[in-house]
Amino acid sequence: MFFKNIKKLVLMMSVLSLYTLAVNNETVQKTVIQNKFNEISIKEIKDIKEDNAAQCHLLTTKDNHWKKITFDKIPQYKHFCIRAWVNIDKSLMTSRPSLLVGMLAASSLYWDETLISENGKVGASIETEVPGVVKTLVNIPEHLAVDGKHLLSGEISTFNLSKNLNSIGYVLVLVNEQDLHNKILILSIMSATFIGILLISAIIFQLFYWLYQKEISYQAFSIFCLSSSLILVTEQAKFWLDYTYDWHIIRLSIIYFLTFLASCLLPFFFLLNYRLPYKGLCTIFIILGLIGLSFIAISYDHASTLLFSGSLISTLAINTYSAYRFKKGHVNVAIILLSLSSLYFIPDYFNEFLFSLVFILIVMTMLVSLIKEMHTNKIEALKSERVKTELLRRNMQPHFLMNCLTQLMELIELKPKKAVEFISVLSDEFRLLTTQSSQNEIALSEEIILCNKHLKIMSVRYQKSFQLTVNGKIDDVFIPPTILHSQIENCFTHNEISSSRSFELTVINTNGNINLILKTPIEKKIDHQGTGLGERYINARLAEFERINTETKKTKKCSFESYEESQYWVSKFSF
Amino acid sequence: MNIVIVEDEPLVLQRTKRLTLEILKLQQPKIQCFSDIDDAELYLSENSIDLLLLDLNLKGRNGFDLLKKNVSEGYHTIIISAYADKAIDAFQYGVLDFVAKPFTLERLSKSFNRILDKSKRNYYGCRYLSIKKLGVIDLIALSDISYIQADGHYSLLHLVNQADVTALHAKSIEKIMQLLPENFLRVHRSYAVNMNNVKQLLIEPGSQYAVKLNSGTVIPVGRTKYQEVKLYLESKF
Repeated sequence: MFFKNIKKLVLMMSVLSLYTLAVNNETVQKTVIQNKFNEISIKEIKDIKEDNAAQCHLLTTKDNHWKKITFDKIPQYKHFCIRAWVNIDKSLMTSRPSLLVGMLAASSLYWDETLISENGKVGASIETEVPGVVKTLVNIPEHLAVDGKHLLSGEISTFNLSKNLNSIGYVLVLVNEQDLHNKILILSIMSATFIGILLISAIIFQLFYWLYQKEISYQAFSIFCLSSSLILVTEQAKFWLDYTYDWHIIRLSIIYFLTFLASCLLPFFFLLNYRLPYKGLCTIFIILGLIGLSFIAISYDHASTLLFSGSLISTLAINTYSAYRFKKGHVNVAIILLSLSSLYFIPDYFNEFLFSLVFILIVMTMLVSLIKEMHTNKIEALKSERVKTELLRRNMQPHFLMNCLTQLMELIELKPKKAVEFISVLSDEFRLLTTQSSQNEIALSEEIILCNKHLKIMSVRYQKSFQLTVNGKIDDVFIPPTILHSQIENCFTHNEISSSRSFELTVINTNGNINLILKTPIEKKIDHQGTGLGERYINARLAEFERINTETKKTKKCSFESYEESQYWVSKFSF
Repeated sequence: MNIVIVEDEPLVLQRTKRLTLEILKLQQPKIQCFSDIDDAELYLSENSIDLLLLDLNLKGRNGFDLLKKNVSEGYHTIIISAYADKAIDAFQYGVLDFVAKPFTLERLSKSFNRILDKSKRNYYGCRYLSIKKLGVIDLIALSDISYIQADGHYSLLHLVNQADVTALHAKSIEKIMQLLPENFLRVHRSYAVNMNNVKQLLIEPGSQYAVKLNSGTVIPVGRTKYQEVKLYLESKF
């Protein structure tokens, strides 16, 4: 009930957050940006002597015949001039207008023939150029920022790029400085929060791995969280780190690498977590797919989009399969569908920031299911512990003991030697039972010894000769302790065995898959007492056995069934 | 004395038989042994016995059904069981004794003394009499019994508030009296009365004594029993 509500809550929160973020993104652009330079004129400077750079900045220079481009199309490995006209209307502004410039270049910018910014040193070649920082916010002096038409001009060089990029001009706008700072602050707080959450999740899952259970999926998830938080750190570096543009490609490469890592780890984690078949094959397939996607990408941003989509789609497939097969992963399916749609509508925003929110939601659902798992594990452990003590108590219970003691009285009075023998078998059984019960697995041969002790006691009690015949090889077979013993014991509590029919154990070992078939005689069935303690005990034992074996990577499925068949009670165990 | 022992563990059966023979040496009992109650059934239906020594697993519902059935018979039943925690329940239904395993000769002879010494009354908490009516076992609470009337080898139970309803019990009045609490007094050779149900003691002309019950029924009181009845009533009021 409690978890169901949490699921709903997470779902609602995710829808709400995605919505507000999408809306927020729109408003950022509306309120902050006063004037976008939609079109700029450009002229390449081929020879400094011939094309006087100073000419570029003169108001009187005719630029009608210059090439007209949008800012994102500024050329690479070139030295050139740009000119753009802009209108200032102060009544629309809340604060002084400033110029936000984001590009991979060295530049000197002029406002109405006045130098307002020098970013790096413009040069005619890679040797003479000194790279500028990627993002600058340029103050326009008070006396120049008056209402009316103004000329923005600049001399720019772009030689320090180690790789051809899709675009090197990111932003050239007039902004309200105050508003921009506010927005950046909010964005920084949010990303810092997200970075923090992802980092802490990474630590939490490391702790899970080292202190709770050495499950490789926790390790994968921890690295996934770490790499996502690093993506966010690197993405947001443009706000807090003023680096020169020759480092830009390194930053993009780091983002690409981290994105690739996170994209691989997300579906890989779910493959492990749901214990799906063909894990290895699926992982290879996913990695190859992601590599393929990054080959067809036309830019770093595009690569991010493709990698995230590839990762989310495969994760979606895994979760859908799991939701269908094991009835878990519904919430993840919803979250991923939501994020895929946002990835489709606002890809850039998703790559830079929104992905972290989606990942945080996935982390939350993982934590919820993990806590749930721990909760059930605790209950299981308690249950099996209780059943264990109950069973032990049953063996030590008055009626078993009292019956044996009655025998002993008779033997002591008439055949003291037999009494001594009986006491030694009895103490053997108790000792074996107490030591074996505390273990998680024992050799089948040991279990058979225990069963024989019990049959020996019963043989004395009923003056019969009960035998356990074993068919098949028992070497190197390990089983949860006292399960066969429990069934043999049950046979006596639910039956009045008056003949010496034998008990049969058949061991079938096919490539490590072990099948045990125990046949115990049915004669006069005493009213079934209905507690089913024996069966509950066996199931608890098998569950524990299974859990411990999955921890040590020997993934084994255990099963147990029992039924009546031609005067025998058949118990089948398989590991 | 005819005794039947039912016990599934041969060594315990041997012990029960051996000790019984030793204790009842003088009575020279005739003992029949069975390994389970179903086998004993046929014998019990064809032979009249005095005592059944029954090993009963009282854990299941079956155990108590068997118990109720046997205590409704004419013979006394002594339960010998490892389930000592069920002793109180067994006594409620009217077993003569409950011997917990493991048992000694001394404990068993104490049990047998209860049969041999009929004058001594020991009450261990019997609350119901089990009767067989058309093959169905029915339990009658002692508080519902007004008086008991001897009827040959059987006893007729007269019930409170139901003057015309009686129930026939297979035990003799002597045997029933061994199970009942002190408020049941054998007031007459043929009558035992639930004294909680007595209204007054009547002394009729010619030294004829009787008790009048709440229902108005008058039960004769034996000359030798008069003092006992009088004392009981005096101590009560």
